[in-house]
Amino acid sequence: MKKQLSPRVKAILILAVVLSVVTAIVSALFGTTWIGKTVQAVMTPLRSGVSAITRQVERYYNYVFGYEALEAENDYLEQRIMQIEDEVRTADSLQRENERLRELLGLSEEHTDYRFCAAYIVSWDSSNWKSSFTIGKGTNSGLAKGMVAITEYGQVVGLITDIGPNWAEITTILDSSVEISASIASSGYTGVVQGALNSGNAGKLRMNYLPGEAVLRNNDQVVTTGSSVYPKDLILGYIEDASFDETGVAKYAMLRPAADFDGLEQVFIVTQYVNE
Amino acid sequence: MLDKLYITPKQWLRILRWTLYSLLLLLAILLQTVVFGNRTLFGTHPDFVPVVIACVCLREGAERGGTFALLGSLFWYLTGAEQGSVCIVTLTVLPVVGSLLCRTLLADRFLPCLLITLVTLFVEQTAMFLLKFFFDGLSGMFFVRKLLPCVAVSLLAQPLVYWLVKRIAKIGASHEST
Repeated sequence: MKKQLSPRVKAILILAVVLSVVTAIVSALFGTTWIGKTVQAVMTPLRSGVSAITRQVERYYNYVFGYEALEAENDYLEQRIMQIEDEVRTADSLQRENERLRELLGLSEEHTDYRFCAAYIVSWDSSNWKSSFTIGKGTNSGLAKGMVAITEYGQVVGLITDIGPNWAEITTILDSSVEISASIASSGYTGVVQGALNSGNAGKLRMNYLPGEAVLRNNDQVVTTGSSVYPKDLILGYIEDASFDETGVAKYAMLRPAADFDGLEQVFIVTQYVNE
Repeated sequence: MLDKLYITPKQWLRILRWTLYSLLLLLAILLQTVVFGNRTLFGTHPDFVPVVIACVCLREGAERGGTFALLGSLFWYLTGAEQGSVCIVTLTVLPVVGSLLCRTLLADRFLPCLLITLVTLFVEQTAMFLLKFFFDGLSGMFFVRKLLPCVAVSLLAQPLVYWLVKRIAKIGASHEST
């Protein structure tokens, strides 16, 4: 085997170690380098293409193999529509009807100060270590690092953590590295919401630093408190479980995220808003 | 001057072979990040890149395969691999050592290749787990719940990748043996 270890093989092995160390140092000091950004920019159209093909194949597959399920869903939805129509007919006051209609209004009309940029997801981080995805829009569309991504219902999806001219990486709120100041909508208790990925509760959120005397109820809605990077009252999730934390002084709550990450195809980046 | 620019048929075949290897790697990256990025197989995200790199390296030998492994892992890192720069070392050193072992101690067949791919996947994932475990406080259960299934699921692709690499390796092989 020693004979097989030619100078060229030795050079490859040494180069691998050197490159690994150098890239780790450069990445830690300067973040994503211009080489990385160029490779990402070149990969984005390819990823967009494959993503579009995958979506089409998935739709076709669902149409072929999920026909019975769709039929059952259709029946259920028809019944639901009839039920809702009945409710609308029996509504006794204009006030109530107005309220319901206001709820149906889009997010844009509700928050006139918001400016959105819609973007499709082109790829998801494929590892088990991190929860992030890449969208097909970047600085060319007016996006910047730190901007918040939401669904069409105002549910927080994540924050832009890296960006290039035609792509942006969004780290979701499920990732442990994302921390967002939040409050419980019904009671007003404030805390910090963090992804529970690293603690083995993938797909859940954890709200820390709640006061020990806080009364927490299941399904209480948790919303953002607002900051210089994201607006207030965006929905983060719903309380599922609560207990005292490791210190025994403060409480924490486990949350079910409001956004449906499994079915996510498109997100809306809040590019502008008025911070009250 | 123009004579030097002339590409012989042998060189054309070599270019074609390495282009196909590169496309295979690109396909693995796209499959991994786009198709299986938001979907899981048996509850885990598969990792196809080490499988392709290990198979090509074992087929082409430590020198040429090692160069491919080095460039491939560097490209994988630059596309935003979550494994970070540690993947450059693991995805180069392990297939090269595996290739040397195959040439000297083991036969250059399917089972040794499967074994080396398994070791590459396992070490790459374990290295990443240990980094996360010590620096980010990752739960120990992650290893059993996610990593072992990830290695097992990724290995399912190995027979297909091995077969494809074997077919690609035949391009221009007759020229090189002469």
